[in-house]
Amino acid sequence: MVAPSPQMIEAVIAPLLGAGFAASGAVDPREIKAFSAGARVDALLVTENFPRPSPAQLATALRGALPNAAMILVTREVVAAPGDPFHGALKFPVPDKVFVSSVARLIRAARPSSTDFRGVQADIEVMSLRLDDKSHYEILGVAPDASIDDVTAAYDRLSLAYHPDRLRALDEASREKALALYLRIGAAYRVLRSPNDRMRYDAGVEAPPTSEAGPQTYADMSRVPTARKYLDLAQKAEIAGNRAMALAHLRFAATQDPDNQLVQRKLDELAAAP
Amino acid sequence: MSGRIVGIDLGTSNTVVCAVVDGEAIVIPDNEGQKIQPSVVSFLPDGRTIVGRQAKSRMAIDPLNTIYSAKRLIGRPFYAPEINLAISKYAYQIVRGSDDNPKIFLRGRHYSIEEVQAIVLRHVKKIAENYLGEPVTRAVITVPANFNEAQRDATKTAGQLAGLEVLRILNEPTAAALAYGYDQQYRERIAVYDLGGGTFDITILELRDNVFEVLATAGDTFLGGDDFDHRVAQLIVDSFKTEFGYDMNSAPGAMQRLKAVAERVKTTLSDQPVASAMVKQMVPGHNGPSTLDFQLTRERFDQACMDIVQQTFVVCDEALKLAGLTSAEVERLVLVGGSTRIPLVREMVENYFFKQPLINVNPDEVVAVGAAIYGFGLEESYEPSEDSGYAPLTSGDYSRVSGTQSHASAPQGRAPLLIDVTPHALGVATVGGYVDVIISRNASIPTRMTRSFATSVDNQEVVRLNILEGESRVAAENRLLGELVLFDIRPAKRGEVRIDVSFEINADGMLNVTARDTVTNQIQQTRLSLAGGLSAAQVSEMMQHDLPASAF
Repeated sequence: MVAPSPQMIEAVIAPLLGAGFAASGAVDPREIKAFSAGARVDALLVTENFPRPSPAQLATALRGALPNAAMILVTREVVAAPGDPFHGALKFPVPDKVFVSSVARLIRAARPSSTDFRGVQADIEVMSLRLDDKSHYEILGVAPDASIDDVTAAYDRLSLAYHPDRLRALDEASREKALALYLRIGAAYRVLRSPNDRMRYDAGVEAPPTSEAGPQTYADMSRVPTARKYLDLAQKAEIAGNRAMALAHLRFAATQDPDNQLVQRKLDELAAAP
Repeated sequence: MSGRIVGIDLGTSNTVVCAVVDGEAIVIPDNEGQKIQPSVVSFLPDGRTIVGRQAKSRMAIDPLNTIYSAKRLIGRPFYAPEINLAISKYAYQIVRGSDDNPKIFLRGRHYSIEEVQAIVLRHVKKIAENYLGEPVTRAVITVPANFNEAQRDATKTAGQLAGLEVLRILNEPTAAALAYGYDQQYRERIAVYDLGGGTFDITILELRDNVFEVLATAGDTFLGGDDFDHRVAQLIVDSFKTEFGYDMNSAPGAMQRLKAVAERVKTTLSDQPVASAMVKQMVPGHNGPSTLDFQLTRERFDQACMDIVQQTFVVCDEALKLAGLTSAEVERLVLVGGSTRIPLVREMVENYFFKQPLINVNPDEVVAVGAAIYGFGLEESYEPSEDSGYAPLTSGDYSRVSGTQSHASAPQGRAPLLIDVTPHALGVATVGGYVDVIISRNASIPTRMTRSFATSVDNQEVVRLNILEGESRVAAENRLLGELVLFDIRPAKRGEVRIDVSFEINADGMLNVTARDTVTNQIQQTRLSLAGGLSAAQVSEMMQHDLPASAF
């Protein structure tokens, strides 16, 4: 183990939490040991211009004495990654406020992370149960007679919990699950905040579908076999550029499935097209 | 441990970088104390680049190799009308690349617009690193609210090329609203009127404590301060012609000089009733330069530019209509962008909204401040600190109607949350030249919609879908966003393969497409190529090469 002499050391001990920041000067590592026995040392800052031992050797030597300290290399230029044993490198000088706050960030980062997402994940699981069976009110957790303000407050609370920006640290599977949940929360909110949509929803009339799979071919518009056949012919005629024929087929298809709005709409559309 | 997340307002004219230090947003100055960097890149003969003020001063000296307003070009295909307009107005050379995207050709090399923007981003990244004393690798970058998918994507690519992980693309007006309302416990509706150098955006938001919900947004990507400059430059050309009978439009490089003079005149008129400028120009057949003593009163300026401001109100009407509000129902007015310093703009906007704008907001800095605050918030929810970590969550019994019980004690903290909207409708071209609208305009994001597609011939291997962007039901009247290809479809009789395609617009306003065969429940391969965007291969190719070195 390297035993740096006091003269060689330009270390700054920063017990940031507590006595404040900045105790600078030559420090004997034995003193550091004694000091750290009594108080918590949060950071060790070593300047890069050490002749001997190297800053890395010094920090390594002191690591045993200061097991909980963030090891920070202080440099003249910005350094990407100082490597072991340093937790980070900071350029100096920078504005005091920036330096102090950067040291504090490195101290926080050097500590073992206590982040535990199990609570959130469990909550997403529970919330996601039978997502499709729940009413908009159940999704938002509000009473059927809730006011618009209650609805909005519930939406805001849930958004703050489950919006993708809030769950970036989660694994991908959990985020995907949370997104499905959040999309459902949003859909519920948008129906319940609109007086018209809410009234229709309460009356059991589905609001205009928002994620319905739309028909892709003309035939998809109908379930009546004869109508489907003529819809198919209409589409082929249209692709061939024969609009009159397409219209004729569509009209016939409409007689086979008279209540079909989609067919009617397509018919109007085609008739109106230039 | 990664360094701080910075917020970057990558503007048409200027770029600003900001970071949160000790809970306070600091607009980061360069070595000379300047907080605003002109978004100008000048290429030196040795291939190195200079950015910012020094580059701006080279606009008149070396117009062919000095690139400005690249933001107006980014993410657009070469055939876009905006590119055409730029070719006629800008001094540097814009050419068609082999990928049909515009490229800038100078000193014998082609540069993509992404690379030019990356050079600007790298410049402010260095300024931030120098100030913060550690590497900056993550950023939130702002874009105009009406930027489309390709423009957002290209901006993100520029960030990557500059060595930045772009955590979030944020809309500029939303960022401005955040800077105004963060941690203020406001509950009100606000309008953010953002008239920058090259773009105009209007966004209506509802602030509910730290939740910022966008109600509507609208904009015009070719309306801004440059239009005022060009109007003033034209006035100079007119008086020069009257006095000397010579059209300066025909003199090479003259318009570049005039643009700079016009900008100075415009800026002077923001605090003086009259501005003057001496314009020298060599006129063929005259001995020595002819000098015009140009004078412009604010009144004359106002007359000449009124219609530019008027155009913004057409866009405002549109946004208010989408939000279902009248201009009087907006409770607060925030002005953003350097052009809102023009007295004419302030006056007309005040009259339109029937209220005084907030004055304690710096229109040049507010967007970057908002971006930095949001970046800080993302980090807080990314790396929860000991005291603001996730509280234990309680789960209610959701199987019954649960009344007003509290659902979850959410990890709220102080981090703000933005709920934005998508500025354009997105649809698929259908048979007969129509559009099947999949995601409507002004939908809250993230959003996801699913459509089912079937094969139409036996053993069809590929389905091609044109993705359109715009509000018209007629396909030809919308912009082509790109092509979605479903490929390697399993062989089957026509109509037997059904593929559910999910169109998701994420919180960044970017489109993700996933597809699933509904019969086999297998993931279906898809490929989405955007018009005006770079392919993934092009991006990784570019990542292999360093950007041109900086001269400083």
